[in-house]
Amino acid sequence: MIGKDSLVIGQYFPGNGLLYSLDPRNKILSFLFLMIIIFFYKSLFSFIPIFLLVLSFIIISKIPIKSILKGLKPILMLLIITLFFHFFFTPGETIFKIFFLKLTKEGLNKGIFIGSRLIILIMISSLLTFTTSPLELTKGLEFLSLPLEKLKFPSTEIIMMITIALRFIPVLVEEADRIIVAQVSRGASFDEGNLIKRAKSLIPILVPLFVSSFRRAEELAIAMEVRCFQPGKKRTYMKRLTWKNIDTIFLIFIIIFGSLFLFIK
Amino acid sequence: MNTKSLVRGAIIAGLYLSLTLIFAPISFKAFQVRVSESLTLLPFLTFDAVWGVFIGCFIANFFSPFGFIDVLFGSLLTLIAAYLTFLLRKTKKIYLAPIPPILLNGLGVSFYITLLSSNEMSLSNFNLKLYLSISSSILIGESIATYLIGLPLIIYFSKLKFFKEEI
Repeated sequence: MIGKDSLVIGQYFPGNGLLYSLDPRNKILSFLFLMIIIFFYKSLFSFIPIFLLVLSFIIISKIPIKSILKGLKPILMLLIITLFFHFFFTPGETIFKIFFLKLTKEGLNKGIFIGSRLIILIMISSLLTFTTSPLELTKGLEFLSLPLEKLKFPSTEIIMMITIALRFIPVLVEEADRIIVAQVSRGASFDEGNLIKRAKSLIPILVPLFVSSFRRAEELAIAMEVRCFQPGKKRTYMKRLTWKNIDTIFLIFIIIFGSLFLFIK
Repeated sequence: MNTKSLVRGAIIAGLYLSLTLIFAPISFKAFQVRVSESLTLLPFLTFDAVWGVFIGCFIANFFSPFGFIDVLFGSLLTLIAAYLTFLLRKTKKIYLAPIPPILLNGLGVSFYITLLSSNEMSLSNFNLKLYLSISSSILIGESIATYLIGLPLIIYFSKLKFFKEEI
């Protein structure tokens, strides 16, 4: 029922190029910086160089434009609602009027400004998840969240949990698939009836799925304990994160580039 | 955290992710319902689920069109909601369990989405109409996932021997 190829976690596109070779910590920091700085931009013109920069990143990483557009699709509704509110509910010079809706010049400007910022924001944000695998990102976040350890935030344990969770997805999905088929063969149907009926029909899938997964968890915990796993102990990695010179150059470049257009009025 | 809690949390995260993957396209009428959000009630039964739900949501949000923003803020809100649900179990009123995830996601997620799509990141000209329209759709979707799917689920689980030891 569910193809193995649908099991790609996140939007990660395996590939190579500049963005793939950068340290995930660096990518998190520089993209976060870009995402924050564009909120301080005052002019629509400041967005053009940033847009071109992001576009060139997309091109050199060989991410198909189609998937970028596909990623933007879910926010289309949000974009339309946002534009609608800004276009018609901003007081100012009226351009034209339909019933009670007034399109104002100020509203038009504001709408376009905010719309383009939203699109750029989402492009930057998804560029990070397009070029960094969840595991790499988690490693990056682990390092960046080390100061939180002092506040008793269990960073190392969380990373271990993420690794286990990712490892278990194929197993759990397969299990769920089996349960769905088993219930269907007993006459269960999942897409008939009203809202409450359909929601209820999920219960016979979820209950056995949960019980069998918890049993699996017990077994795994025992297996880990007999191998002397100790939660919270600092982990070592086979593939360690390395901060290269190119990372420093990239980070400095992004900070300068981003700040350059801060003052365009 | 001991090994057992760690693995249980991890498996709950795995379940959240699998459910997100399997039931991704489900929407009831106009409302998007993330079936996996029904798991946000599990902290009512066991503390391990607090981390589990947080991590599941954290990874699942990599799919989100908001990308990294949702990964950071969305999962943080889920963590807070999960902890509040855990605290609510002292009241022993199981029907209260869905309230933290509904409110925090419905009011919180829509709050930052509104901020991201407003003119300035300031509260003085906060776009209330936009906020209300986004939050109401999230509130409804989340209520369906938690009250219609999640609540029967945890009522059933609370009777299992497995979870009885926990409470």
